[in-house]
Order: sequence, then C-alpha cells, then structure tokens
Amino acid sequence: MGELTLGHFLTLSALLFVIGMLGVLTRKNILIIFMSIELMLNAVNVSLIAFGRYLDSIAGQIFAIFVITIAAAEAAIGLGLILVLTRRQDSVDVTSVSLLKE
Amino acid sequence: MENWLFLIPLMPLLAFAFDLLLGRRFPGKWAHAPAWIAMAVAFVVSLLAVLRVARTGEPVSQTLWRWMPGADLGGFDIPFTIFIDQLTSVMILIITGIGFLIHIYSAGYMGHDPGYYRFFAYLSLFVFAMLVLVLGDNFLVMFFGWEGVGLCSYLLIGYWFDRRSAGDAAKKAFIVNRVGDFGFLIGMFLLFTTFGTLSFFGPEGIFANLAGKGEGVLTAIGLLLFVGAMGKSAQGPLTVWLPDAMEGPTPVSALIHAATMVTAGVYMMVRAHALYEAAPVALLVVLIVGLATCFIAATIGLVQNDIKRVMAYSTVSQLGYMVFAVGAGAFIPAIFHLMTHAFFKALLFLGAGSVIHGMHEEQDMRKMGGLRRSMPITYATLVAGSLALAGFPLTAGFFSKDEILVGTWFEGYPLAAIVGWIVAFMTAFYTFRMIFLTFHGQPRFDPEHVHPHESPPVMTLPLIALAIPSLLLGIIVGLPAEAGPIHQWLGPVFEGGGGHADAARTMAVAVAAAEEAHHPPAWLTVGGFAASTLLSLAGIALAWLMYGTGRISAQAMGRRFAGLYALFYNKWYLDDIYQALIVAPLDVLARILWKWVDAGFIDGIVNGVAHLTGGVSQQLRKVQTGVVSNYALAIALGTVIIVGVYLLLGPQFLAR
Repeated sequence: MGELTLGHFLTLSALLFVIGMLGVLTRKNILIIFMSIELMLNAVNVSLIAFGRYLDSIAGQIFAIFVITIAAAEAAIGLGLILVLTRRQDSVDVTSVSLLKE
Repeated sequence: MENWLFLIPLMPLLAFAFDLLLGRRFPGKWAHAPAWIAMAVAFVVSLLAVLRVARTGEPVSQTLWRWMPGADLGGFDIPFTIFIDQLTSVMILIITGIGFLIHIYSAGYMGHDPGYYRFFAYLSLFVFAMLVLVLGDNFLVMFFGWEGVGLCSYLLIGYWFDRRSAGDAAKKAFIVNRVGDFGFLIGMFLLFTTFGTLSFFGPEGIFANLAGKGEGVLTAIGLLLFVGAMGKSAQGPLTVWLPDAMEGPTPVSALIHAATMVTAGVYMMVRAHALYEAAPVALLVVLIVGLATCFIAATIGLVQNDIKRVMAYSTVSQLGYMVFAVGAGAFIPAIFHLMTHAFFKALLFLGAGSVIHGMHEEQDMRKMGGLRRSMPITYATLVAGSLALAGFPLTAGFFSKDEILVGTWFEGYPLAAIVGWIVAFMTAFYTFRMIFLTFHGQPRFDPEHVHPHESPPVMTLPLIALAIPSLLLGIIVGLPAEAGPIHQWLGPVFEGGGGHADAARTMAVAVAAAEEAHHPPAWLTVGGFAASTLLSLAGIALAWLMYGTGRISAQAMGRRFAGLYALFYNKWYLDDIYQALIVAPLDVLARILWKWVDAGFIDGIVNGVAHLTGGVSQQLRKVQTGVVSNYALAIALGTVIIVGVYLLLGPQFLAR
C-alpha cells in the first residue's frame, strides 16, 4: 500500500458523485433521489477537503462547512416539500408529478 | 418698456391655458373673461410699444432667450426676440385691436354653444401664434407662429366637429397649407445655407448681406417663400381652402380668415421686401399670381348665394390685390390695404354673422331679403363695410385700393392696374348684390317660422366700433394720396434708417430710397381717383338695377352668359380639377396601399411571424415532459458536454 495521494481522494469523490447522479437520474422514489443528492454534495465535500489539504489552505474546509450548512437547510426544505407532496397525492413517485407538462 | 414686450404674446397664451384647463369648471359662461382681459392687456402693451416707436422712430426689441445657445450647429443660433418696428406696429395693433373686438362679439355669437370655453381657448391660442408670427425677428420664429396659426385655423374651422363638412374643410385647409409650408421650409433651408443665418436684421442678418449673392438663388428663395405665402394667403392654386374654411364659426372667419392670418403671407413678403427686390423674377411671379387670383376670385364672388362664401371669395380677391401690389413693388399700399381690409372685412364677416344669428343659422341669401327693418344696426354697419369694400369714394377701402392701382401703374405695370380696376368694378357689384339680396326687397323666408331679430349689444357694439375706421381710416391715414401718414409711418422700414441701418448697403434700399424720392405724377393720382370712383359707382348702380329694383333680370343675364355663369358658379372647376388630378389618384393609391401593401404584405409578415412562433412552440412544448428526472438528465448531460468540450479543445481556445 502506497501513500494516500490527491488522486485517490479525487477518485473517491468522482465515484461518489457518479453514484449519486445515477441515483438521481434513475430512481423514481423521491426520498431516494433526495438521499442521492446528499451523496453528491458530500462527494464535493471530499474533493474540497482534499484540495484544501493538498494546497495547504484552510479555504477547502471552510467551503465544506458551508456546503454542510446549506445541505442542512436544503434538507429541511426538501423534506417539507416531500411531506406536502405525499399528503397531496399519497405517493412518493416523481413521475406522477408532471403538472408543468399541461 | 422693452422689458414688458413679452406680455404681448404671453397674455393670450395664458388665457388659452387658463380656458383650456379650467374653462369647463367655470361657473356659468365666464370663459370669455380671461380671454377678454388678455386681449385688452396685450392691446394696451402693444399700444405703448407703438407709441414708443412713434416717439423715437427706432424699433424696440426684447430678446427672451436663445434657442440651443450652447449647441455647436454650424452657426445655427436662433434668438427668440420680440421685435417691433413700424411694420410690426401696424400688424400688432390690427391683431390685438380687432382681436379684442371679435373676442367681445364672440361672447354673444357663441353664447349658446356647449363648447364655449374651448372656442375661447382656441381663439386665444390663435392670437398668441399670430403675434409670434409678426413679432419674431427671424424666419424660424416667424415659422413657429406660421405653423401655430395654421393649427388654430384647423382647430377652429373644425370647431363643430360633429358636422362632417366642417371636419372635411378643416382637413382641406390643413393639408393645402401643408403644401405651402413645405415651400416655406425649403426656402428657409436655402436661406440658411446661403446666408448662414435666419435673422432679418443686424450686420449678420439676411437683409444686410444680400449684395453679392447670386440672383438665381435669391429668386429660388423668393419663389419658395411665396409658395408658403400662397398657402397662407390663399393665392393661386392654393386658394381652394379659404372658401371652405367658412364652415368655422363666423367670428373665426372674421378674425382668422379675413383680418389676420390670411394676411400673413403679405406681411412676410413685405418683411422680406429687400430680398424680393433683389429677385425681380420672383416679384413678377408674385404679381402674376396675385393678379390672376384677384380676378378669378372676384368672378366667382359674382354668383355665390351663400353670404359667407361671397365674402370668402371677396377676401381671396382682396388678398390678390395686396399680393400683386407686393409683386409690383408697391409695398406700402399693400400694407395700407391690408390694414383697411382687416377692419372692413372683419366688420363684414361679423355683420354677416349677426345676420346668420338673427336668421337662425340661415346662410343662403336667396332665403333672406327685407332684413333692414328688423336689423337696423347690422344693416347700417354692414352697408358701411360694403361701401369700404366696394371702394366708395372717401371710405377706407377707396384710398387703399386706389393706392395699390396707382402704385402698380407707376411701378411699370399699367396692364395689371387696368385689370385691378375691372376687379374693383366686380367687387362693387357683388358686394352690393349681397346687400340688396339680404336687406332689401321682399322677405323670401317663411315669416311663420323665422323671426329675424337684431343681435344683442355685445355683438352690435363691435360692429359699430369697426364701422367707424372702415369709413374714416382712409381719410385719416391716406390723405394726401401716396404721401399720407401711412407712408410717413412705414417709410423708415423701406428706407434703411433706424434699426435697419445696416441694410443701407443693399441695393434694395437704394431702390426703395429712389422710389421715395419721386411720387406718381398728379395726372395719375387724379385719374386713378376718377377711375376708382366711376367704377365703384357703376358697380353699385348695376347691382341696384339687377337686385334692388329688378329692372334687369338676373336670371336673364345668367341665361345669356350661361357658359360664363357655369364657369363662375363652379369656381372655375378648380376643386373638380384637384379632385380628378390629385384626390382621385391619391384615393386609388391609398386603396392599393391599404388592400395590398398593408393588409396583404405588412399584415402578412406580422401574421406569418406569429404563426411561425406558434408552430415552433407547439413542437418545443413536447420537450417539457414534467418529469423531474428528465430535466436532471438534461442538466447532467449538458454539464458533461460543456466540461467535455472544455477539456478537449483546451483552455487556450476558450480563454479568449
């Protein structure tokens, strides 16, 4: 086992991001999509922190903290939306929500 | 004193604003009050200014502001200056004096009209514009007033806009005037390119720098400006609007279409006399057009039956006198006639208005007759005005018309003077034909339904006030002939003394000075008097024989000269010619433009664009599925493509 390099972290970040994106694109359950978005955000966090370490700068970590904060706020709003959605049509399927098409 | 000159045009403008904005809210009918006050103040200030001019012999002026002073426009610098010399004095006294009387009269005449305040607002605006026209000391300010009076004329002819004929007449007047104004505009452009200024006076002004300019360009300017004068003063081919303008209320006909606005062309040419004297060809054209108009309008006036139309044609004919006097170079007689004509023609129109008012809006003279018993004051004043118009000896019109004819003969156009005398005979005839038809003989209206009555004092007082100068003005300012007070008063304008000192260099002034030096010989003056007297009396006598006693049958005359009668009655077919040559082709063209170009082509483009947008949108809306996953996929693919292009092409291509 060699030393952990920037490349490893970026690879991990990319993999996590792609997994999250595929989740967003393929799944129909809105809760799963939501969790996938969280995954993408955290993939970004990983790369931010890795770059921060690599460049010996605190900025990466600060950005990561920001992302986590925003993610928390977004989670609150997103869960609220899901709650309203399930109340209205008793389903968590995104394909059933296509009012804009009309 | 100079600091108060701005009040002259400002007062009518204030009255206009006041009446237009607040007139509707006035309790009762008080819209005439601000207009009366404004006219009175303007008249008094004008009078003070004129007295000052009389005392010092120098023009007075006040520069209010300069138009766009900072802009670098190649020497285009227009001072908004009020300038009063002896010539302007005559004009402003006519405008404010007669204007005041007509404002008073209008309160009676328009008393029953629902648009009372609107009428006074327009009338005041007109007076403002007319004053600006004569007070300006350069062509642009004059043009501003020129257009302003055109607008007011349009508004007031079409004052009873619910009558179709009034609306048509207003449009006709406006459009015909546009033709003239176009010539005026081009003339101004040419003036500016030639002289680099539009100012009349001063060392840099137009009249001081005529020497050395080509006669060709001066002739062109003179002719173009004359096109403008033809429009305003209803001369030559552009006469057609003035008779139709009688659709407007009668005080408007009196003020605008007889006394003031229509004389603007004459005023302009006299103001620019130096320019015209340097362009003899232009002057000759002015003479010919004026003479032809004078003659043609008089012949039409012989056979009209509408009392206002008789006067309309007589106005055109009298304007023709002034214009050909200008063309002959007899400027002072032209202004003299302008002045006397303003009084007696305003009187005639107001008198006709009084008749129409008393006859319940009847204008056809064939349905009148015998009115002298029921309207004694109107009858007396109207006879006074008619005597002046007919050139009855010792009335105002006699002196001024005679001076024009003698002056024209003396300036070297005896033939024109002879035509003028023939027209004088016709004038006397048709004027008294109107008097006899209207006031003498048996009533030809239905006494059961029509009860002619004398007008209220608010209308008859202005009539009396105008009748006095119509009779006496000639004796006061016109004697001795060709050298009376009017000549002494206006002399400095044409001599180059005083405020025109810088014009002394010009050739024109040399001509004017030479003119002043020798008067027409005594035989011409006396002969002119004799001819004018005889022809005037002969015209009146013929009218008496035909319409007063009926000894000569008018119908028989009409049958004997059927061809001429038809020609005159149909106004020399001028309107029909325009209809065939201009109106009808334009109508066809407009129809083509409307049906094909507008409805077909332009609307086609507009509708085509709309259809195209709609069709494309119909296709594009299918992209919007409403499924969030599809949008997310589009975002992701888009990002991948953008980043991919960036990585493939490399930053060096996209950096700049």
